[in-house]
Amino acid sequence: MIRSVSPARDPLLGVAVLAIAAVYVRALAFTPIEARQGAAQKIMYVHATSAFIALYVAFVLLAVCSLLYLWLKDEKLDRVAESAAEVGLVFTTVVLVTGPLWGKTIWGAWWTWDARLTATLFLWFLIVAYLLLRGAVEERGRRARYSAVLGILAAPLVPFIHLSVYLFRTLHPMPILLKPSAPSMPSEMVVTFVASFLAFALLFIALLRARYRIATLRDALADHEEAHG
Amino acid sequence: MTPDNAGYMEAAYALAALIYAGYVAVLVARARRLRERLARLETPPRTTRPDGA
Repeated sequence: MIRSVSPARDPLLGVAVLAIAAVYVRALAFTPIEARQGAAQKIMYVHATSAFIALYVAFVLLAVCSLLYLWLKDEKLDRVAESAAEVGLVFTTVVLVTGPLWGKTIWGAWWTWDARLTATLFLWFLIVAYLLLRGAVEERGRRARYSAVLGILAAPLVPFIHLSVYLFRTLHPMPILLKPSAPSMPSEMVVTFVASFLAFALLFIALLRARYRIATLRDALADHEEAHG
Repeated sequence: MTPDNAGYMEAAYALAALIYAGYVAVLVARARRLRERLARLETPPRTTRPDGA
């Protein structure tokens, strides 16, 4: 008999929600306002942390698990890759929704077709295509193989997006944390940013776990239906 | 002078919360649907007697 905990009853999700609520309070009420950008600069604690997790955690995990799946043919790896892609897509959606709100206040434009923004949007479409492909192929082995190839092909976009601000002339600011020298922010902002990163990382793990359980349940159901006609 | 743009910040935080909460709701609904389908499959079919009793 297959049993699965409802995502709503997962204690890890509860802890993640509480951590994010605490980060929201710290960011909005107890972190100083940047003098030139105003309160809109605080969008960074949601926008940049979501981007970090989508790019450097979710899509790296997608590529690694896809690669390992092609080698080991373990269905668990395919399920982790699928889950990382979907949860990463949600995080990227937050990046693409919150970015223009910050951009409008700083650049005076909601969107600009520069390298980083365009590549991020392209990556979003690529992950949508990945999930559509999974929905379109019924045979499980073939679905896993095809999507693993697409998952690996998406990976080079991650370093490209990171380096795009150095390689091209862009409106997007240079990294203020992920760079060789010390962060160009006051310590209170760095603490809020790190706390936000940890809270969103916790949310990512909780969502990934919930999504993985759904994939397991779906595959078990398919096996059950196949076995019993 | 520090610009007054708190509305953009509030909108960004609200939209982010909405997207994440919406996704959690989708996951809960999908898990429930799958569990219900599985429960239906695992329940043995009820036998009906010819007299309807």
